[in-house]
Amino acid sequence: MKITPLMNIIAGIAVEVVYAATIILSALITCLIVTSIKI
Amino acid sequence: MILRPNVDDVKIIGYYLGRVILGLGLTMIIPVILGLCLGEANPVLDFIISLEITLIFGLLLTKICATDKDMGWMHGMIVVSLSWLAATLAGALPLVLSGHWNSYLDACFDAMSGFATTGLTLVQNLDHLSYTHNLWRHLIMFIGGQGIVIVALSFLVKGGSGALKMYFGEGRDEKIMPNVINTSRFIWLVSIVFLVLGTLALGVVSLLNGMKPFNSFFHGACIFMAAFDTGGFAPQSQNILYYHSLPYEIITVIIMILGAINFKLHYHVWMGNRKEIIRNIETITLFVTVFITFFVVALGLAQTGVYPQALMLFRKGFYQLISGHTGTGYQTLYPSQFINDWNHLALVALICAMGLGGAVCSTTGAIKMLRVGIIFKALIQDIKRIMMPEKAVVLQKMHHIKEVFLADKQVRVVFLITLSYLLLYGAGAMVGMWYGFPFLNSLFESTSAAANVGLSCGVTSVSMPAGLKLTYIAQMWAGRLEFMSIFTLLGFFVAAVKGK
Repeated sequence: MKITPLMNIIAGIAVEVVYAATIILSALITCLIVTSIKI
Repeated sequence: MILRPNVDDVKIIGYYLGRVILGLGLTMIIPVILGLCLGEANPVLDFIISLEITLIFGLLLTKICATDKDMGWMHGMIVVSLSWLAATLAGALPLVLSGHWNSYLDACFDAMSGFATTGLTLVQNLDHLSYTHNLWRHLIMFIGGQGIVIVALSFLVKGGSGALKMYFGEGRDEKIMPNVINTSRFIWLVSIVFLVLGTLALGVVSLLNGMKPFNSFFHGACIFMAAFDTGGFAPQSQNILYYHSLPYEIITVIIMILGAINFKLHYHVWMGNRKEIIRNIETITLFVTVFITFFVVALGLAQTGVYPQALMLFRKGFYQLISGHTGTGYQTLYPSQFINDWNHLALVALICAMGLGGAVCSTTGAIKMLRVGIIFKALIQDIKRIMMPEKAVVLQKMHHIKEVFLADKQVRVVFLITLSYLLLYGAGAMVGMWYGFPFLNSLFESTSAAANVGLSCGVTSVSMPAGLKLTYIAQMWAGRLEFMSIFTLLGFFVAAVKGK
C-alpha cells in the first residue's frame, strides 16, 4: 500500500502521542511505587 | 576598535521593526472579529484604539526609516530584541484599557508574560474578563510561542538573508527546511494541526463534564494555545483546577509534552522517520530528566504524606512537575500550597525541572534538552579522555536527526548559555530576597520567570514591588530570546556611545 503524506502525518502524530503517553505511564508507575512503600 | 553605528544602521533596524509592529497590529483584528460576533462593544473599542495606535506607530516607523539596504546579523538581532519590547508595549494597550489591570506596568507584565509564553499574571477579576480580552491573552501566547518574528516572517518580511537573521535572533537554533520562510510556515502547520485536534479533545471533555457548548470549545482553544505554546494562561482564575477533571489534565499533559518537542523532530517524524523519536538525544534526555526530577518530587511529597494515594500524587505532583519541566505553568494547586504542602526537597526538584525546560526549536524556554544532553555527553567524553592513553583521540557521538560528533566549540557555547541561564535565575532570586521574600520563594519565582514557566508560589501578585515586576519582565525577555540578541542590543548602545 502506498503511504500518502497525510497518512505519514497521522502516523507521526500517533507516535508522538505514544511518546507522551509513555512519560505519563512511567510517572504513574512511579506514583504507585512511591505510595506503596513506606518511606 | 568599536565602530559607531551610522544612520543607515538605525534606518534598517527601524524599518524592519516597523514591519514587525505592523504584523502584530494586524493580529488584533482576530479579537475584534470575535468581539463583534459576541456583541462585546466596549472590548471591541479597546482593541480598535490599540490597533490604530499600533498601526500608526508601525507605519510611521516604516515610512521614516524606509530603506532597501540588506539586513546584517547585528540588525537582525537588534530588531528581534526590540520587537519583543514593542510587542509588549503594544500588546498591553487593550489589556490596560479593559480596566482589569491596575496599571500599564501590570498590563505590560502580562503582555511580556504572554509573548514570552511564561504564564505569570497580574490580572484582576479574571473570571469576569470579556471573551475578547481572554482570547487576546491566549493569542499573544500562541504568537509568542511561534515567535513574534515568525509571524512577521510568514506574512510580511521577504525571504532571504534578512529573514534568516531574525529567525536565529529569536532563540531558535535550528532551521527545519533550507528556506527560513518555509520553516516558519511548517511551524504554523504543526501548530494549526494540533490546535484543531487539541481544541476538539478539550472541548469534548468539557462538554461531557457539563459545560456549555460555546464555553467548552472557547476554553478548549484557549487552553490548547497556552498549553502547546507552553504558556500557562487560563481563562479562569483557578487555572486548570477549575475543570476538576482527570481526562482534561491528561490531555493537557500530552499537549504540554508535544509543545516541548523540537519542531525539527516533528518534521522528521511527520515525514516518516518515526524511529527518530526514540533515538533523538532531546527526547531521551527529556524522558530521563522528567523521570529523575519527578522521582525526587515524589519522594519529597511522600515524606510529607500530603498526597497518600497514587492518583492524587500523580494529579498534584506529576502535573506540576511536567508543567514546570515543559515550561508551561499550568497549575492544579493554589500558589500557597507549594509553600504550605510541599517540602523543600520536592520544591528544589521542581525548581531544577523548571530550569531545564524542553527541546530547542520548540516553544519552551530555559536551558533546554539538547544542551543538557550535550553537557552529559561532554562529561562522558572527558571521563574517557582521563581513562584513555594521553595520545588517544576521543570522539563522542550523539544522535540529533543524524549522527553528529561533539565539537569542543559547540560544548563551549552550550556551557556559556547554560551559565547565563543559571546567573539569570540567581540574579532574579537575589532581587526577590532584596525585597524581603524568603530564599526558596525568590528562587522559585525567579526561575519560573526566567525559564518562561509561569508556576507561582505566591510571590507574583499585584502588590509586588514595581522593581520586582520590572525584574521579572526583564528575565522573561532575556530567557525567551536566549541572551544573544539582547547582548547585541546592549553592544549597539555601547558602540553608539564609545564607538569611533
